[in-house]
Amino acid sequence: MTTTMALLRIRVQGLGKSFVLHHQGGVRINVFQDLDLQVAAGECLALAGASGTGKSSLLRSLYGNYKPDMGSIFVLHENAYIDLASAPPRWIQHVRRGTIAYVSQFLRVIPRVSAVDIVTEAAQFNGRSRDLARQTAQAILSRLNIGPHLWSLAPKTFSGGEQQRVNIARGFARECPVLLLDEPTASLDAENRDVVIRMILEAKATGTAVVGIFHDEQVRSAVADRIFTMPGQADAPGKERSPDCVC
Amino acid sequence: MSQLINKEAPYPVVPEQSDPDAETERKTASSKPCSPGVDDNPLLIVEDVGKSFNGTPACRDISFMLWPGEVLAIVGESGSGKTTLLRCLSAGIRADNGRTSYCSPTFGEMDVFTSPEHVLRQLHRTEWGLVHQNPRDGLRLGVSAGANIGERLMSLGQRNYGAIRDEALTWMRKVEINGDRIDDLPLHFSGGMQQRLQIARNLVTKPRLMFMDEPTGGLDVSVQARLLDLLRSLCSELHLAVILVTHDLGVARLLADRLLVMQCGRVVESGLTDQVLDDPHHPYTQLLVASILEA
Ligand SMILES: Nc1ncnc2c1ncn2[C@@H]1O[C@H](COP(=O)(O)OP(=O)(O)OP(=O)(O)O)[C@@H](O)[C@H]1O
Ligand SMILES: Nc1ncnc2c1ncn2[C@@H]1O[C@H](COP(=O)(O)OP(=O)(O)OP(=O)(O)O)[C@@H](O)[C@H]1O
Ligand SMILES: [Mg+2]
Ligand SMILES: [Mg+2]
Repeated sequence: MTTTMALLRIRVQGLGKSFVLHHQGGVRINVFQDLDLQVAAGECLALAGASGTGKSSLLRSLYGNYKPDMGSIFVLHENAYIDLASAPPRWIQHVRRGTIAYVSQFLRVIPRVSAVDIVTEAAQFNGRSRDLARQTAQAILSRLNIGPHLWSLAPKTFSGGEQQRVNIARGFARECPVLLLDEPTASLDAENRDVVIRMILEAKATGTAVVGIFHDEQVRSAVADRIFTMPGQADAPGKERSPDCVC
Repeated sequence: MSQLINKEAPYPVVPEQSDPDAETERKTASSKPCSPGVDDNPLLIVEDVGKSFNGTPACRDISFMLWPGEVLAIVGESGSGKTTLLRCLSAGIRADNGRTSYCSPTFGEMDVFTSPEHVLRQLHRTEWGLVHQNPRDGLRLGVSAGANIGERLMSLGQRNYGAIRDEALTWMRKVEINGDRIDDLPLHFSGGMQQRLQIARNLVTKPRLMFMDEPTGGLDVSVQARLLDLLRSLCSELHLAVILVTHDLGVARLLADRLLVMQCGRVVESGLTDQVLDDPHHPYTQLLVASILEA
């Protein structure tokens, strides 16, 4: 266990991301440049910074959802570091399937697919049987206070908080070595927020590397080991600091 | 791709994890046996395919690979060459140039464009499926639903009427058509039912590769949603590789692992579906994404 703790799961080097908006005068948005960061197994890194500084963009890049224009994102996947910034699509899918769970800020609903099926699908990946995956899904949904009366419904009609809890359940449905969280507790009440905090702490205890955006100060101080502050537009590259000096 | 594996990584690195899209990978493909799903051999390798009509190119320089179980969507504006490409790849029309090789469990590694007619016909009855935008083009309207599904089985020599009928009923159930419609003519089915019947008719021989041209095209929204749901589960259950032509980015988002964006006969952008849709780089892709409400 002690060796696992020191293991680097994510290593970002010289990462840069910009957007060119071709239909808005070709304007270029330089979101961030030259970012370096590392996350070890069992550690939680919180991304901080003002709105628009690129926290979500960085998190999406770590999932291979945004394509950075510079630098590398090495993620430890089955005993090798794969660079998500340059890996071909099939590899990114492979790494996602086995290694990375990403909880977006909002659930993207799929028409006609029930809450329990959404989570079951995520739980099934580790080669688990459909039955076992379904049991796992039901347990996680229950833990997040999504009761059996909602399981067979498609989440389209759920409240914002219920949808988000389904989304979180999906992210936690299989124990991934890397967990990416974009404001997971934003629309949750205190009780459910505490459940999510406990789930994050449990994931860390099993060696998961967590990178998250937590606007809620209480959540952040409960789970984060370090804070990474996004540099402002004109600022120097991002620097890490300890969570104590956050306020 | 400069450096996929970090050389300085303080951890054992698996050797030879090269880019699966690289040239070298293609060479080894033919020497290995094909078994769907588990290996890394592409099912289809498309190289520099082009087709012109009366001197005007409809599609050109198309290259990509497709792996077993993978769903690839081709999106792009009307007239960009999507249907033409699909017809070339499925050998419906003859491409002017390029090469497509298909890894068949029956025939081994084969060159689609130069394969004899009877081999292609056999593929179309067994390992391949073709779903037309208009189900009337892919069905025999004058024979019963059951006979439509049974046709492939009969063409493969199956003669046991009871067994064929059972199989037809099984597939009707899978595509959510009531079994008591088995003796009815598809002529009188709704558009959505016809499309589901067309899909069942193709799937009965458990193909490995499906070509689909706008499968949800002519259907209204609620029928579309149901069909998409069905296609989604069938693709994963049957480990189907699909080349899916669609102009609907929502359909692509839901079904496809990867995306090719075509404009004026060329592929202008390609990649993981969610990456291309959420972070489009090419001006044309940005236009496509911006012009829909939500995909
Ligand atoms: N897909 C995209 N296309 C174009 N611009 C984008 C895209 N995604 C993000 N941006 C831009 O990148 C910048 C950073 O956005 P991002 O969402 O990463 O910020 P954030 O730090 O997460 O902000 P917030 O705290 O408000 O969520 C913004 O200017 C945003 O408009
Ligand atoms: N048989 C044919 N003879 C002559 N021209 C053709 C033929 N088939 C296609 N074309 C032309 O080739 C170009 C590409 O057509 P294609 O049908 O492949 O487009 P598409 O991308 O499928 O469009 P849509 O989305 O409207 O179905 C068009 O300009 C079309 O007019
Ligand atoms: Mg954000
Ligand atoms: Mg067409």
